[in-house]
Order: sequence, then structure tokens, then C-alpha cells
Amino acid sequence: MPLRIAGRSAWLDAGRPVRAVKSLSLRDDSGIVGYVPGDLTLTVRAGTPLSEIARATQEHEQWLPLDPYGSNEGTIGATIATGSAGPLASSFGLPRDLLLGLEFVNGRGEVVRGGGKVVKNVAGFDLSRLLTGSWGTLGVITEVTLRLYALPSADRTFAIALSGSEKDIASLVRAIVVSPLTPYALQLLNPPAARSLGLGEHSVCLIRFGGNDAVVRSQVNALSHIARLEEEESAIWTRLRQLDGGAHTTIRIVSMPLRFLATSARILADDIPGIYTCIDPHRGVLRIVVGTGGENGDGGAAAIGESIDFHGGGIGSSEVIFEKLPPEVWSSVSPSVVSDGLSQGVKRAFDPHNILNPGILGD
Amino acid sequence: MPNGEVVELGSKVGERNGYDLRGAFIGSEGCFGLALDITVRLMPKPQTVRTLLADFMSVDKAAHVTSAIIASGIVPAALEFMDGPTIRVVEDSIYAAGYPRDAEAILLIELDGLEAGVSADLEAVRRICIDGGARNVKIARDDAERMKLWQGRKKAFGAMGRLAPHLIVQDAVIPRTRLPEILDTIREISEKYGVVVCNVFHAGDGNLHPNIAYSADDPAESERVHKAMIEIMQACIDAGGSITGEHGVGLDKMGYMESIFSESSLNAMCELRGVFDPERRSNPGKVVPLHACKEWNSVARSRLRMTTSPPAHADDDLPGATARPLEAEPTHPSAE
Repeated sequence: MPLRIAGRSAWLDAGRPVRAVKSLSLRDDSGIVGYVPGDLTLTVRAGTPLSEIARATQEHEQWLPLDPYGSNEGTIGATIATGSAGPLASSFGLPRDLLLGLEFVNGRGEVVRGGGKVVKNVAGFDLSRLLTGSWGTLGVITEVTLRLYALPSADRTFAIALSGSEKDIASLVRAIVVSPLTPYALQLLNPPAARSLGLGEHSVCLIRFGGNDAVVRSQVNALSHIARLEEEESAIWTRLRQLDGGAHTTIRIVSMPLRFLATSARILADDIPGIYTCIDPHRGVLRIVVGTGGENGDGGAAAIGESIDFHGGGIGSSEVIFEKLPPEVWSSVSPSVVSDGLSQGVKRAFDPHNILNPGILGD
Repeated sequence: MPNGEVVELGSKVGERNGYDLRGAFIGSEGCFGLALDITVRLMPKPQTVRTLLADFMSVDKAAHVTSAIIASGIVPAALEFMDGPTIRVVEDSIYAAGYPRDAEAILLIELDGLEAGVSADLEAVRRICIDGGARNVKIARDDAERMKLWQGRKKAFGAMGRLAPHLIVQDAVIPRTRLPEILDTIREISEKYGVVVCNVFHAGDGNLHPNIAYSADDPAESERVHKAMIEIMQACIDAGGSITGEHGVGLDKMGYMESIFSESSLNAMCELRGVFDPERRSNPGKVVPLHACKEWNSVARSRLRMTTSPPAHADDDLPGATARPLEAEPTHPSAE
């Protein structure tokens, strides 16, 4: 009986079409299993929404610095299963770096645990990392243990307008990125994205500083000598993460961090309604979000190919990762990412009857 | 791969489509094949590094200060703990770093990052140490002083060589909040067996390295030492920790795997290994106890070259890091 695995069904339009009629929802398997603030670790059931984790940890002045694109009502299980990350990843790591251990049910109905509950652990083979980003195809994640951080005493966000010629923008971006700052997050947004967030008509740099008061103050001071800063509410990050809503296509292109410096001004000059581009220069990721406003209706394979060439061209070696595509386009653009021998072997070992999200990563 | 095929796992850009086979391979202790070349991400050196040494007249105070530093939200680049016996061994050796001989515990703390942030954190840590009962807090003034402070910690195991011919070093992890209690338990266990346990470890991570200098040629002493180590490990497991933070499971710790993983978890690990190494060519018999593998086949079993047979090994396994030589089967009848 093939199954479509779902958390709170917030991200069901991502991934390839799943060949399953029946759905298994983890929505009710929610709640905190164990939380010792002094250990900075948290164990929760997989159906727990990110918002609940934020609320529970905030009470102890702590947080889970994991901010995937999408709504905070998405579950931690889905976040880990899809390996989704957001602007904080350049500073705090990817989901695999924040996960200490997990419990999952494999395709034979067996309950398996990997990792543990402590921050340092190399016992056994790393099943936690294997399941992270496996999109529910190796097991249904039921419980996770996460590493937490203390909430910083200062957390400030600024927008810097990137106006002027491509040359001006290129040199400003370079100055920001190579200076000795250690921001929590740094995103370069093209004009449609900036407009959507109410940040003006030009492309914009959004930067977030966090830590003790002294380190934030000194970085803000240093940056203000390079550019004009407009302070923003931290809620702007939540809105940035939700720009995906309604889009029919989201792609991320991953390259070496800083590779995008050379081409970012050209990429950011692109001002076509309905296409958002966000560059994370420290993480080396360019995100393209298409079809949000409905104006740019052409989501065909050819258009996507052109978009990748345009945005990714000239940056050398990179990985193109498709998160969301119109259903009919997958088979020509990216039929499978697990067709190699090892991946097939891993799938057969954990889900021999192919009942878990069949087709979501291809065959 | 064990069958000779060369594959690339992961991606030079750090993220890729599909399963995290790179993540699965890391920490597989040679059971999945041989790494031939590795691409790593480099980080720029931090703008500033500051190091301090706090000494205490009780292990308990140092343990509590460790928790307080972590709880304050500061993430030190290093937070190392050494207890009295260890300090005295180091100071008696050529590696003497100027640690106060009469201290019962020292914390070696390092902070790095942007100058402004590190200065603020340094003052906060100094404050926490003093408030927590530190007798003295010394801040390294330059690189030379920093190197000297670290020398004692880095050479601690070497210094232990002055006490006895052999050294057994354990590697266990506990939740940081259980540190004071575990150190007490270790002290009780060492008294019970009449052994001297030196504690030097990464307190910031809860990664303990209790170690005992002894003579492995003395069977009575060896037995006491090994029993003490087994009890210490069990105490760490009972506290919700892990059986290894850094050194791996290998052969030594296979006997503990069933204390921390269920049958189906161990079987899942076996199956994962079977994907990379179906013929069991690569470090067979390590990490996961053989009897936990449901689909063990006789072809693979005959490839084992261990001295002990699989089921017995798990039972009389003596944990700890004492080296145990592998005896290969003779290749010629005459080689004896």
C-alpha cells in the first residue's frame, strides 16, 4: 500500500509527483518529549510545528536557528525530511548540522533510532544524516533531537539599497561580503523580491547581526561606513521565507561560497515580474522562485532551462537542485536523483516494497 | 568501495540532490570502504583568539562553572577540564605548563571571533568563573602564553607515561548538566577498585576522557582497571550519554552497542553496511555486533580474521582503548 507521508501538509507541492493515493499524516504526533535547557538539547515528536518549538525554547531564552523557506506552521519532521534550510544556514548550518538523533519507522514497519541525545556522538553508522533530506523515502521520521542555542542579547536587521550601475552594485556587494563581519544572515534580493517585501524599487541587501551587544554594535558601526543602513523589524525574515507561497517553481543553485560575487550584480539586475532571485553569498546559494504573482505563466521546461543558464552561467561548478516544479515538467528536467547503484541499494534496504513516498525523488 | 569501484560521495559545493551518502560514510570506521581523496571547506581564521585558565579548589565548582558558561549562551571555541591528579602529573613532567599544583581542577577556556564580541565574552566568562568560586583566573597576554597554557593540556596523555607503562583512555559523552554528578561517580568507582582515574576532557561538549595509568602485565591490576572502566562507561550510558564522542566503536566498544541501540536499529546499520559492502570485505566484524545482523551469511563469516569468534567476542569484550593485536591466518603452512 503506497503512502504519501505528510506533516501538516504545508509543503505538499514540493518534490516530484508521488504515486500514492493514501496519505499518512504525522500532524497528531506532536509535542515535546524532553527538554533540559541546561543541555541546550530538545527532543520532540516529528509532527511538532516550528512555531511551537520557537515558543517553547523562547521561554528559556533559547532558540533553534533553523528557518526553512515556507511557513512556521510546517513541522520539524518535514523540515528534516526535506533537508530544508533558510537564511540562517550560512551561520548555523544545515538541518543535518542541527540534528543530534532521530527515530523513524522504515518501510517494513520497524522502529529505528540513529544518533543520540548528546551534542557529540559518533556511535554507530550515521542513520540521522542518511534520513535527513531523504524526503520520506527511507522512513517516516517520528521523533528528533535537536541542538539549541541561547537567544542572542542583540538581534538587528538592516536593509541596504543596491542602486546605481551594475558596477556600483558589484563593488558594494563585494565590500559587504568580504569585510570582517560575521552576520547571522545575508541575502541579496532582486527588485521584484525587494518590492514584495516593501523594501523599495531596487535590489536590496538584507543583513542580520546577532550576538552580545558589543559585537552587534561594532559590526553595525563598521557596516555603516560602507553603506547606508535602514533598520528593519526581524519579522521581515519571516516574510522573506514566505515569498515562495504560490510559486510553481523553486530552484536552488549551489556553488562555492563567494562564487556568486562576480555575477551577482548581473543576476540582481533581472527585473521580471513574478521571478524572485535571492543570493546567499556566504552559503553560496542562488534561489530562483518563479510564478508567484501569476504574471509569468510560462513554467515550461524550456523557460526553466533558460533561467538556470541565465542565472547560473559563468559561475563554474555548481549543483542545480529542483525543489518545486510544475508536475508535468519533472520528467524532462530531472526524472530522478536516486538512480545510482548505492542510492538504489539504500532504498531497497530501508523500503523494499517502495511504499514510502514512491516517486518523490524519482526512481 | 570494497569491490574496487571508485565513487564520489557528496559534492564539492557542499550540497547536492539525493541521499546524504557522504554523511553516511563519515564515521563508518572503514566499514564502507576507503576514502581516497577528500574535499573540505576552509574557514578564515578568527579575527581574535583569547585564552584563559581558571583554577578551582574543588572539581564540583569547576563542573558547575562549566554548566554556567554553557547556560550563559557563550559558545567557547574550547572548554577543557583537567583534574588535580592530572595537573600534578603534567607539572612533574617536561611538559609543565605552570598550572597551580595544588588546584583540584582547572578550566582552560578559549574564545574566538570578532574582537568586540570576544572582549565582551571574555569579561563575562571571567566573571562567571570568579562568581563560581575560581581561585584565580589568568588571561594569556600573547601567543607565547597561550601556547604554554595549551601545552599542558595537549601533552597530558604523554605525561601519564611517567606513572606506569600502559595507559587506558576512555571516550564517553554525557549531557553537560550531569557533569558534577558523573565526576563524583567516577571518583567513587576509582575508590572502589583502588585505581587512580585522571580526568582530562572537553567539558564544553560533555566528552569525557577518564584515563588510568597501570601495568597491563599485572593481571590483578589489569582486572581492576578494566572493571572500573566498564562501570564508568555504564554510568555514562545511564546518564543518557553516548559510548563514544570521538574515538569510535571499533572492536573495543561493540559490547556496548546493544545498551544504546535496539535490535532493529543495529539491524538497520547492518543493512546500510550491506549496501556498501555486501561481501564484508572492509573491516568486517567492527562497529556492529555480528549477531545483530539478521542476514549474516556464511561466505562473509569465513572472511573473518579475528582472534575471537564473533558471539564470544561481544561477551568477554574488555572495553577501553587498550590495543589488542589482530592475528592474521598464516599464509603459508610453514610460517609458524
